[in-house]
Amino acid sequence: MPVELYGMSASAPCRIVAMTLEVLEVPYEYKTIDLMAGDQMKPEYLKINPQHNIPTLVDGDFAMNESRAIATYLANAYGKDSKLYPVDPKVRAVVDQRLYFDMGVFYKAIGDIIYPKMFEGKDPESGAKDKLKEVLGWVNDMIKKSGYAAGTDSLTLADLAFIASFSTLVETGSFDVSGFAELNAWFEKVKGEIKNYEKANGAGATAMGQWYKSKL
Amino acid sequence: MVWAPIELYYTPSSPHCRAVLMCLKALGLDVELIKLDMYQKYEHKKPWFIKMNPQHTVPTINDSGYILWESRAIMCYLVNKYNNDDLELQSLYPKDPESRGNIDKLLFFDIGSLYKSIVDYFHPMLMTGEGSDEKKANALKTALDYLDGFLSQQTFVVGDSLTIADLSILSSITQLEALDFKITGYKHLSRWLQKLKEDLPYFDECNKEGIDMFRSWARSKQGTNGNSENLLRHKKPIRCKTYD
Ligand SMILES: N[C@@H](CCC(=O)N[C@@H](CS)C(=O)NCC(=O)O)C(=O)O
Ligand SMILES: N[C@@H](CCC(=O)N[C@@H](CS)C(=O)NCC(=O)O)C(=O)O
Repeated sequence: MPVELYGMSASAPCRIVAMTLEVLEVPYEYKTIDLMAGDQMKPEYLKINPQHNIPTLVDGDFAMNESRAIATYLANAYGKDSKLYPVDPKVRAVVDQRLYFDMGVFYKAIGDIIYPKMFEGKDPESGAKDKLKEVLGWVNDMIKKSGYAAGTDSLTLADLAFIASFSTLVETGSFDVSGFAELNAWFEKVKGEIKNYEKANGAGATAMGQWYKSKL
Repeated sequence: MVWAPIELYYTPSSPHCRAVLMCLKALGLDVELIKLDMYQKYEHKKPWFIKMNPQHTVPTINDSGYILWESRAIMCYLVNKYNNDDLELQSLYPKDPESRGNIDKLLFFDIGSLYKSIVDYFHPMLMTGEGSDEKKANALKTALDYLDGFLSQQTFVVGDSLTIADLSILSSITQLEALDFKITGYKHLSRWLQKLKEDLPYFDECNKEGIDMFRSWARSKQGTNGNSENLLRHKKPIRCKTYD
């Protein structure tokens, strides 16, 4: 039985999981959970994820949520020899560091720019733009080393997490990212290395961008 | 083989630092503690530290030249690297994908939901004396409910033995306690907390000083920004970030 991914393509965390499945070439079935329709509060869904957020992964009788943890689970379970999540503790730890950074700092800084408009019709708080600029500088420096997010010589989960975040920012057009040369070069390159990129990430990021623009 | 001790750059009142310290102790590793003065001297913003960690956060470790930050990534690294194929040490972060998935899930839950909701709720009250925000209080309660649900079915947050997810969440929960937030209503969570405090031989050594420091800082803030009527019965607090 293929694994099941419950989610929505506009959601950045869901896109991390979809890209991981594509890159690992794990067959999966996408089950759409429409947040606007309240699908996440249905009893069947609460059974697999009492936290009622998306994404959720179901693999046989194992179910879990938290996108970045799902990505590491998939790499551990299906990517034993994959360079996507290297086994050397020192290299793996840099990937992990990037995943926590993505959640707590990078995606957060992006959310602080786009969510106030999308959900409350407000402008971002003062300081949010400067913060994002600082964070983008950090990300650019991380990528500068080897052309990949974790300083490796090929794609890792860190790139997938960063690309889900960054593509969302780019598609909203809410922030001028042109000054970050390495970051932009990385974005163009890495898109081409992800199997079915449009389906797994591109289209959802575009949808998110359009949604943002519709609120302006 | 002789290892140089792992250097840990830290500040005692940071829950993330305390979690890493507990992990080092659980693995029986030697550590050299390097306390940063972040509040008067801003040592974490000094060029020598930024060169190590551009994000200037603690905890940061230096393991014979290998530098790493983000507390949860550090804990995963330490167990991956120093479990010595010893089953008991490995059980802190077992290798089978499902256990690991559950642990990683809770580590991300901690950073993104539990600890975040503590900061989001207490930080404005503490720093600017704002009143209690019901929405934020609910987010915190929701995270605690979820955790309590987990613990109603098992001894530890993942399964029946101690893992690094317990250590991470323990440091968040003790931070919450230091804010005089009562968790006794969460029966299973209280039971778990009590058990860890009693059973972990290194609990006091790793936590006591920092928790006490944080508690008195938080109470003094309440004195300054007091607005206690609005504070439910919590005092106030947090966010390491804003000490600077
Ligand atoms: N930390 C989670 C965040 C998931 C999340 O926030 N999902 C949002 C959509 S992008 C959601 O499901 N919101 C609805 C809800 O929480 O009920 C992850 O990375 O998986
Ligand atoms: N997610 C990080 C958070 C680290 C963090 O925010 N540390 C605070 C102390 S609790 C800090 O160093 N703040 C100073 C700064 O950000 O400049 C971790 O778990 O290590």
